[in-house]
Amino acid sequence: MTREGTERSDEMRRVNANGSASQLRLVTLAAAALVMLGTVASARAAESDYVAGYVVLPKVVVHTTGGTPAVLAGGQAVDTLIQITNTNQTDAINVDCWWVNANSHCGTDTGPICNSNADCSPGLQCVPGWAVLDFTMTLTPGQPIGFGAASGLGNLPCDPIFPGPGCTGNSSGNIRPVPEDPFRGELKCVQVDDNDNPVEANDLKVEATIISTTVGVGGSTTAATYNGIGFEATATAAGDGPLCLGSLPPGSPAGSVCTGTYAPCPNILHMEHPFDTPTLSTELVLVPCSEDLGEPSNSADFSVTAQMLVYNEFEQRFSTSSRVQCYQSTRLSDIDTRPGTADDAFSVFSAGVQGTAVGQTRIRGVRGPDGRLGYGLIGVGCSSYGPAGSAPLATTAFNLQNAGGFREEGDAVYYTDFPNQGP
Amino acid sequence: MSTVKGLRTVVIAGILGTGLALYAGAASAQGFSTERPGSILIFPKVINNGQDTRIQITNTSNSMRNAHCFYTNGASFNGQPLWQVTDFDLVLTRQQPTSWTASAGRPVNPQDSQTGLDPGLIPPVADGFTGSLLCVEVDVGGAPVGSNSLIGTATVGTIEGPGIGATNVEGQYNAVAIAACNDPQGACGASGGAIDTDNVLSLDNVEYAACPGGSYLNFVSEGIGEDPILSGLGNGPGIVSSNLTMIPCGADFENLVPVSTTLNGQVRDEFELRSSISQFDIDCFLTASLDEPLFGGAFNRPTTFGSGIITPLSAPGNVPGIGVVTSLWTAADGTSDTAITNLHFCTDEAADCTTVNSEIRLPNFR
Repeated sequence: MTREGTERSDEMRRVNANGSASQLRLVTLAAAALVMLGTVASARAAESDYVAGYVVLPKVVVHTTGGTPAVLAGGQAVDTLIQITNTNQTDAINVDCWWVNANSHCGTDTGPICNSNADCSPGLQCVPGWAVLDFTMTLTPGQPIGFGAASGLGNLPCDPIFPGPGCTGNSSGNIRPVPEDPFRGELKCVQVDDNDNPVEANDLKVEATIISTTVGVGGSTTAATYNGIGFEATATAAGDGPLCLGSLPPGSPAGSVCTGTYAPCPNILHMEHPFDTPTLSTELVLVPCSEDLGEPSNSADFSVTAQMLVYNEFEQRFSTSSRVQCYQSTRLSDIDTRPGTADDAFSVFSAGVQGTAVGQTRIRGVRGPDGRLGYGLIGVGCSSYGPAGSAPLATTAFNLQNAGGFREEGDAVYYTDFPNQGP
Repeated sequence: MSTVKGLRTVVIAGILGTGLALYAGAASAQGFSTERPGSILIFPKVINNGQDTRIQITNTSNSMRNAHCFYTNGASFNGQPLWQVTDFDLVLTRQQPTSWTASAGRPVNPQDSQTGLDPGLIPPVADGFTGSLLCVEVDVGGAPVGSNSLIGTATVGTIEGPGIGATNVEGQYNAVAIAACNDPQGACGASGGAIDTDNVLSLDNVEYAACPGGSYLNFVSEGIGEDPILSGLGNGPGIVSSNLTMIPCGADFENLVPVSTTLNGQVRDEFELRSSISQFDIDCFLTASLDEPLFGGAFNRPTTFGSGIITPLSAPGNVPGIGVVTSLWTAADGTSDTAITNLHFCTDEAADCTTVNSEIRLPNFR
């Protein structure tokens, strides 16, 4: 049957229109897929060698001659030098920070600081603690600052009451020292706007140097530096929700909104290390990616199981696990044996057990019940050289590596809106 | 109809272009890392000069991997870089870590004290060696592969034991790992493609990740006198001095021509006072104290702390440097220790850190 030209033309127009619409839909879908892939590709896990918008220093330690108890002559005093830089060469930035105090105390959180029950009076338990002290600062363009955790920094250079010849603007802030001496814990800092809301900017560079020396003379001096673990800021939103590392954890309350979205936590941490010997030991510091800085008791009750696979140079594999409650700083040989050096020879981290000098350990946070906090882990390692039970002759610190991409389940850091400057 | 078609083409191109641009921008310039595995490992500081270097490399994959490694001696003779290169092969089984010291190397001898699967014959370096180590992931035949399986660390120092006057210094850094791009979904972004099997490893975000445009470093000012942190711990006044070690991002092992580059940069102190880092050359390897005249006094600041950005001079052929900073902390009683820091990568174009293409040329044995 012969069709009229017009009818055929109409049909062609309809077919072409439909084809064009399909083509356009396909292209749009392809573009959307590319955008999504871009989003996924940009979600690289947190790392320590690029500037970021949220940075964590997992290990901050202080114990000085001014502490309670004080370090006496012949003892090893320690402090942590923190260096924070605004890498933005043209604009000032605001930074909110939190000291996370992981000290344990005898009996109550106002009792004497302790490491174990043996440090407490009879009848008192050494109770793990988790408390937060916040502060804020403004850094001028390109400004670096440095301060000791033990002393803080009362007035920043370029503050109006501490002006300098090159200051193009005003810094501000009062960096409070750590709340206790001795102290062990973390420092967390996030880049914010003038209203303390997270910003989608990545201008922070942070590093820590742990320095110790023998009080008096004739002992040892040690220094070890590691870079802060940086989480790239990728988005912000209005609201009072948490900082999301990757995304909201699966069990987050309905309607939760991430006020800041950052790179996700690493899926598997990787640590290259020597196995422990009587003269060389390595300490592993792990902290959860998720924390509740606004309600510390929520974090104090939250723990992440760290599953560990240990490989030696024979490619032999062992496994162990550990529970990270708020903060864990443990010698490798104490992870699977009783604390102290007595059982070191029986640990899977012992060179005697493994039969080789070095190994690698892969660490993964095990996902638990869905909640508002996730199960990612970050950390650093520190090696000490010298006879066990004595002050170390030298130390090193190193950032853990990432061997397994990023965690798909998100993590969240809850915080209060306005840091309390206080006296 | 042609107008409609043309308009449609523009719209489609626009949508695709936006998606591609967003994807490329999102995933670019992250292929250098000190924390993620890669197909090229760079250890910028390897020494055997009274202090030794322990190298540790791990195959993070579940398959056997091979690597071809190159020691480069960064010493100079009469002002000319020696550029002596010694190469060797490694074979690592799945998930195998291995280690050796630069001074002793590692023989293939299951009966010796270095237990574990020997990864291959690793030569020792000569006394006085100061240089770098570069390892490339290859197949059994020596052709480069892009599995991104290698990760490494280096520990530099010496332990003489307790006692007056003993030297006990140790510092550790992570090797710089360069990722093979492999495909547009890889570390290099939309430009990423498969690596070819020739002996030229292109660091161009197509084969391998391109070089980051610069490095950030933080430092304690040289010549500042007492460092307030160490000095406050009860062992008298302490001082800090730092040393920068850098190599060019690139190498030519085929023609044994040392890669040279000219770097510069700027420094700010805590009062925002800026100072330029004088142009300085790296001929294959540089190790220099921050207070050397080479840097024009840029690191001698009136404040205790400072930060800097080091970038290549904008000129054809200049490549960024890759390096570490070693700080020596010394207390009043003479006891000391070193701390080594990986430099942050700078990819901020506003800070003149534009990604730079480079290459590593392997000897062509095929």
